[in-house]
Amino acid sequence: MIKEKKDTFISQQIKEDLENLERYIKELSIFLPLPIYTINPSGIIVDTNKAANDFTGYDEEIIIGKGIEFLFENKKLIQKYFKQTLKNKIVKSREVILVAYNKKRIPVSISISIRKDDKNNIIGCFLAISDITEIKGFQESLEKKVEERTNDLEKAKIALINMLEDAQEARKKVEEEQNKTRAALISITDGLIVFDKDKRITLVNPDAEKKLKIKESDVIGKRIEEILDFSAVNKLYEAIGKKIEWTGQRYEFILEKPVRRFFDVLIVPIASGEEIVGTIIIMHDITRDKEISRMKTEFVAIAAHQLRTPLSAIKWSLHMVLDGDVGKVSSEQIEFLKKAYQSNERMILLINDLLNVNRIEEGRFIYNREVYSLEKIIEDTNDLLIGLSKEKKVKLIFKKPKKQLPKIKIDKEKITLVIQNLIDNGIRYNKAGGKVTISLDFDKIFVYVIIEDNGIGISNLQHDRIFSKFFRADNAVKSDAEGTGLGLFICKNIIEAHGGKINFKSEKNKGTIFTFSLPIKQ
Amino acid sequence: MLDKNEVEEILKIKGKTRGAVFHTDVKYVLDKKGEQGLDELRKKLEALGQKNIYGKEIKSTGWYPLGWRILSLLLIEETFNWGGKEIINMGMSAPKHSFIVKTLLRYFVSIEKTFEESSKYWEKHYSVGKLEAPEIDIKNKKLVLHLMDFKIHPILCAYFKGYFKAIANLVVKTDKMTIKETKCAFDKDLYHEYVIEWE
Repeated sequence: MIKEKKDTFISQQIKEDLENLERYIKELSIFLPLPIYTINPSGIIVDTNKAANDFTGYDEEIIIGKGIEFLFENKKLIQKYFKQTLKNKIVKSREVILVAYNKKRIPVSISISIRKDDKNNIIGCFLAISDITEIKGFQESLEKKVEERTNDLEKAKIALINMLEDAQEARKKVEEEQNKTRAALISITDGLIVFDKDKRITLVNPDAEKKLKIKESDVIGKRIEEILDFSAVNKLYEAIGKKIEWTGQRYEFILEKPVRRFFDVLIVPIASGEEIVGTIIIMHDITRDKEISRMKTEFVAIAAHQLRTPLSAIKWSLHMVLDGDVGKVSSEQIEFLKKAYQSNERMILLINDLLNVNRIEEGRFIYNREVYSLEKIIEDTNDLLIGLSKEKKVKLIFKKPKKQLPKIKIDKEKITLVIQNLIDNGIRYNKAGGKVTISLDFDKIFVYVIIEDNGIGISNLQHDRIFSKFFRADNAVKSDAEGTGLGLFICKNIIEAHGGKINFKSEKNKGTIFTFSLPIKQ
Repeated sequence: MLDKNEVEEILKIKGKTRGAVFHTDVKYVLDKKGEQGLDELRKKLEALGQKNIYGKEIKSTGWYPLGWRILSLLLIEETFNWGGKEIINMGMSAPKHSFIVKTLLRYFVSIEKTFEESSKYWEKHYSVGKLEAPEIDIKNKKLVLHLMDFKIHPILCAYFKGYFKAIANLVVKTDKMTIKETKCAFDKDLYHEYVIEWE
């Protein structure tokens, strides 16, 4: 009886324990947020929890009894994972696609772990599922972004490669151009030294190497100041005023050894668009030109000297005949003799001009400077030319300065020659009834002599040649055949030798104004 | 239509069953007919002067009169005018929701293991009768079950057809499985024989 009661009590306890356990399992199953399936060793789903039902949409009625692969898109892959689990006890975090009841494909991560009984026999597995939709979405978005970025980078890379190829092509072309330019520069017979923007040497052509006794490889990349140990370079540097600058000026550079040689040196800029990217020193050998010029000058001098003596003899002989010193001559003979006399005079003038030019070119046009009145020179010249002005019916006007002119030192003879030349031109190339006005002016630095005429003027096209040797304007030749074309050349040289300048303004058929300046302080 | 007299006769059936069977009935009715269907059953039970066998006080692991099991099935069949097919389906559904079955899942390793333990399985559910598996032919994909000493009510014949098939389905992966009651205690046979075959 007692035993029976005891058994009933135990049975009641077991029943209560089971009921508690059932309740606990149900509560746990309802609470557990992780979808879990219980799989038997045959791969059949034998149990599920609420989370699994909610997540997949399949309830026990449908899913229990189905194979594990029923839930997934890639059935072979799931079976593989299941087999791996049976072999390795656990498979963790495998990404697969779950096909839900509503056919929605859900990316999930699954983990499968085996179950064993108390005798260590495998009695199935638990399959846990984690929804990785958000992670996948994020991952896909990230991958998309990475892909987009990769595509962008790929495009950028292609663009960059294209640019590089273009750049390489351009560089190749530039190199080709540089090579061509270099080849051209090297082949030039003038000496060339090319400098970059920083005044560093980038090229020395063979002619310059030879002239300056340097090797390009020794001086490349250096500034000229760094290579003054080369004596020829040093002389060149001094000749160009110790600076590599484009001034438009020409410099003369002389090398004494092994034979005396003359070079015309020019510094020119290298421009790329509007930017100056370098400089070139060009050394043109003018030794031969100099020699020819010297020989020519010498010849002219000898010829002129040789001609002047007989011409003087002819002049005085004709003078005597015309004056009747050697007998009576008829009026008809006088006319011929006068023409001969005038021609002889022109010859003498020409010879004198040639000798002056010769002296100028030889640097022997020695100036004997003294303080002398310009007004006096002008007045004397006017007196001398009064005959010509009357003959040409041109009025000579001298506007004397109202203030006292500053005293200046001049070569009276040469300045007279200048003023005489300019007034003579003003009369000669004028019209009957025209006038030549001479005036003087000064400032703190210069005294100015202005000779203005209202004659035939000079064509604009010929302005730049007016001071050249033997040049005569077209209308001047027509107007007077006697000019030598040397007068203005001589004038310019005389004025510049005094440290002054001469220039003019002229308009054809309206007249010309010549102005020359002479410095007050010398 | 069930009347009190009939119910009294049913309740005279000897033997007990686990409360889990009422839970699986509730689950099935709720799935098919909803709360309204369940209320209908409760009212009928009340009208018949019977206890609410669908309430929370019924525990899965508790033992209850076997007559209630028959009453529940007959009441459901009558109330919803279900035929044998629906009773089979009820049987098929039951193992999927039964707590008792869950406690026995450890035996659901293979068809041999499962049905070798069939007597144990039966004992977990019913206090009378005996279930045996005299033939488990894996090669020919055939299983024979004998339910002996269990001449309770013919409605259970249909119910067990579904139930045994569902159990077999938990261990045999197939889409094609059939079950036939080849012998029946109500047909003068000594026992019920169920033959399960699959492809």
